[in-house]
Amino acid sequence: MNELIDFSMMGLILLNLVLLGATRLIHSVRLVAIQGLLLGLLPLWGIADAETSLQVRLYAISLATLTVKCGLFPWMMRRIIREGPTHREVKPSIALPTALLTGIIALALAFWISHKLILPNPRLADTLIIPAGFFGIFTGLLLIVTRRTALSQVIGYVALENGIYAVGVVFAHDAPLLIELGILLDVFVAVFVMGVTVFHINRDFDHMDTDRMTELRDSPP
Amino acid sequence: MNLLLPVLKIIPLLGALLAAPLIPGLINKVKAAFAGRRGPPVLQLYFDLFKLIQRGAVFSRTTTSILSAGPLLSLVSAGFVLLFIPWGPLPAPLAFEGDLVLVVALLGLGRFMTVISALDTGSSFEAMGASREVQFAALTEPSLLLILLALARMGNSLSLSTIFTALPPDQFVACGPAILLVGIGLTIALLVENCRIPFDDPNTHLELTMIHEVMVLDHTGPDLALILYGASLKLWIMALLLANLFTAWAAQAGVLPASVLILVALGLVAGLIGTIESITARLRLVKIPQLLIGAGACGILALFLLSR
Repeated sequence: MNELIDFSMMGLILLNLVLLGATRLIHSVRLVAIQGLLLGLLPLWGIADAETSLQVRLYAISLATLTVKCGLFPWMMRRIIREGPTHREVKPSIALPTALLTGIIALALAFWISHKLILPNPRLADTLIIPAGFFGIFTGLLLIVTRRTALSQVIGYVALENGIYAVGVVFAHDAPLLIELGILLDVFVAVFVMGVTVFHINRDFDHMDTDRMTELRDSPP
Repeated sequence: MNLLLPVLKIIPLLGALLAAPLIPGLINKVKAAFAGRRGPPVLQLYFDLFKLIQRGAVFSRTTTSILSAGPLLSLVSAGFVLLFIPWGPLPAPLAFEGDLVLVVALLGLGRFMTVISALDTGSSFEAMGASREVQFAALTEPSLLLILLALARMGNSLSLSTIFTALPPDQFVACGPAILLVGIGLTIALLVENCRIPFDDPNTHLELTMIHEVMVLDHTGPDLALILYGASLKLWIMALLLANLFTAWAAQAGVLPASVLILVALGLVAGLIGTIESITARLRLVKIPQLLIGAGACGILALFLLSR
């Protein structure tokens, strides 16, 4: 099953690269949703040679991930884009080709780190999961730092969480189900709160440019 | 067999020289099928070449001999590259360790000749096309080198002739993700090197969007025939590289089955290009560098995958 894992992780890496270069918000949301699909299916690839108790856990994780990352998040973000009066483009603060090149450097870093790590599960340590996960984390951070509108920062946050989740799957054997689901719930609440905030920013200010929110005032001058 | 080998090696070369204009014909047929037209015959490029050769050439008085040297030298460099491209299990007529760097350099030389012959006309319009061509080439060449480097890592050799024979079926599956990545990168390189849609439209005559077509506007008659033929050779070279990559698992089966597979793969590549041209629109000029960097990223990722 390692080939399937590798192929889906390669898809994750490529989607992250495309995400760095994407210009339209709706397109970015779609990319994150496909990532969610790949990650939701990821636990199933290792299910054949797991014992029964782990199998149930893997099914639960897969189902919860698919609902939240492939269903709820995209639906929420799409709603914000549709209802908001704002721009439908991401507003990067560095040029997109520069972001892509930085992404390639981050990719090298991710492979280097995964090379240095000693993992409890050597069978999965050979696969692409760890570098892909770390690359997801770096991409998410890069997106949060280099994008100016609130919604693209939320997308960056989801990409970051996707990376964390991929790394977490390697430890599914040792970590209890409750932790996995707890993380998922945390992220869900975070994105939910961010979604509500962005929605309100959108409605009250006609924009969601976080650069313009640095000055806090009670009343307009 | 050993005595026959030098003769056998020449056959794919001659075949390429004869059959290269078929690929643009096939692509146009696929595009016509998508559009619901009958389309020009598959042999159309042969007719065009034959017609152009019989015509005389007209040169502007501002031009020098570089204008007529450009098409000839770019055709010669494409022909030279062909000498280094193997045909499945058959090694190329010329091969040495490191010939893949020479292949990229020769492709660059061919482009350079086209560019300076465009600049030689003194037309600012053609210079604009030349500038765009060079701008994109500056990104294409490193990407292509990275992709070929990943190939070299895969086959543990720096010679194109031994790379594709070093991938028996079991290793082909093990390298699966890397091969897919190299395939994607090579397809992007093929499209940009041959000025196909998303990067450049071979049919366009809209001034602001032309890249390659604008550079050859001043060439007439036999010179234009040389350019068209050289372009079809270049297309054949890149398509053959792709075909070799995806039929590498059959390289041990013998020359004849591998040849049939490669011919099928070449047809599929033509179909793929035709499909891409039919279902996608041209990219905005500012988006092109991103896709080229993406092709380079595919090469780097494949390199990482292989050297884990």
